[in-house]
Amino acid sequence: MTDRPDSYIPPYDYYLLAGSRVFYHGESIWRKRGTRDWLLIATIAGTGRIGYGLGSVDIGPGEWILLSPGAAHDYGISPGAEAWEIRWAHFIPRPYWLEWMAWPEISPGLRHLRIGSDVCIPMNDLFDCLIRHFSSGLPGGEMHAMAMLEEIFLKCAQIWQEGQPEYDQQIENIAAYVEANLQSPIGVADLCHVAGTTKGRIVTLIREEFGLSPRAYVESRRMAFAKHQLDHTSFSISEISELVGYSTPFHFSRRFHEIVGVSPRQYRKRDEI
Amino acid sequence: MPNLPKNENIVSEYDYYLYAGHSDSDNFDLHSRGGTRDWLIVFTLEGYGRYARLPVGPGDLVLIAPGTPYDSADAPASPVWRSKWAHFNPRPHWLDLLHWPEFTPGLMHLATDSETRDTLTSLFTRMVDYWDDRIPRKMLSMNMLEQILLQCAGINPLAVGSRIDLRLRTAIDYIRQNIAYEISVADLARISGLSPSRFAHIFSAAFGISPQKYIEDRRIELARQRLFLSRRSIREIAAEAGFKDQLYFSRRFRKYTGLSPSEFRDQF
Repeated sequence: MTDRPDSYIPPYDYYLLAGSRVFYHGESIWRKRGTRDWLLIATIAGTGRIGYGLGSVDIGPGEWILLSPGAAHDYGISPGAEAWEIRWAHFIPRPYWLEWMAWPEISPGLRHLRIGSDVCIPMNDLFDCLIRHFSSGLPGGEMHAMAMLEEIFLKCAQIWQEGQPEYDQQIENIAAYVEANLQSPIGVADLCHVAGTTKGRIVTLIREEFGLSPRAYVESRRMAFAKHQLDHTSFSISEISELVGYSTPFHFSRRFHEIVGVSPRQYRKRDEI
Repeated sequence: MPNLPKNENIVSEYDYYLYAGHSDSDNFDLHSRGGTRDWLIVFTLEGYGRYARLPVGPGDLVLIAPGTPYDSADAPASPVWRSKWAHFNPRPHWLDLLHWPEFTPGLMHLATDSETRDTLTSLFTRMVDYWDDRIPRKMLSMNMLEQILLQCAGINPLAVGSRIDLRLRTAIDYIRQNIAYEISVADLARISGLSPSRFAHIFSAAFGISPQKYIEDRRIELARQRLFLSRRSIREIAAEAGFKDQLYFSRRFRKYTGLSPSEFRDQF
């Protein structure tokens, strides 16, 4: 930890502030360098204006905004509107949330999501429930609020991912095929066949989704399954090596060590009860 | 109830996993001699059964720690025993939530009140529904489990702040609404209908800290939020958080955060 004193880090793993606010005529917020945490804003009623660089965008009910750390905060009621009612949350995400927070970007650090009218009310209710837990003053209230924020981001991720069905379907077919065939050799040609596309496209798809080459992706899944088997079964290393498609336990152990950083045996022993 | 999940059904991306489902059984008999390597939580919806020698019925929650041998069966005269359950590995920050009263070592039990039962029924139902679907939805399932455990903490007599009774809730609301003013334990005792010493005792037992400490925690918390979120002067913020004397405020604030209010604000 670099900047904040230790005592500032709250207990558990959460860091969250949440509340509601109504902006009236002329009211706005301006922070040139933003804040060090993330900011989520949901419009409940009225119209707000979000500034970025040289431009700005008006947002109304059902439109949500997500600002990254360091992105300038330039938001307030839209000129001409009577009021802008929002729910907000400042927070530091759990690391595994980040992939669900990759909403469409309007400008660097400023993301925007339109919540369809069919789910708008339940999503607003969820936000209100989060704020109730956060400000309850009861032990565990903040932790519960953090869990609800996670639920919000998962549901938001579903909402924006529904916009890209074709892409998702191909990745899903590839992922399902890989998971089902970990025992066997898997080549790029197999993946092309499963996704119904070309080799070049496969490489791009997998790189965009997982940040890996096809070969590294397949091997990472073999290792993930091997780790799971090491954790939750008493299968021997050579049995597991066979389950995840390596020709010899020796070869498996060497690759495992290279990728995970410890040998399978050390991995299994790491937290023996 | 299956012991080890199959490959395609696991959420294992982040070093934890979950395997959720439901059982409808009128002839149920299960032995798990060595126990499993994961945790098991079971919520009974209808009918009667038992875990080892612990009888369970509608609204009962059972939590079984890894490596605990147990057997389970439905009660002979019971109608169908319906339950929803999850095998899981906890996220690291859940560990505090997994200390329930033990019936026998590793076999833990909570009974629910009717309000909690409705909430839990909804959470368990959504957990199992989400689980039947694809990866992002399985994460939702994991999230439901987290909310279930947090909900259980509210009725767990071993958890700090469990069973906050109505009198204390009134006092907490009063503190929140009057944070800008002086608040004495005598005031809180009066609105809670208790004697000051009795109030202080019940409060400390429920929250693990004295009422005075709780009030100061809330004041500092509010001040931190205001310093962070607003441009108001430190004098105004001190007053808003109920500190009459700015110097005293700065001293207390430093005690909590290691920084003066203005140093703290400069962090952002």
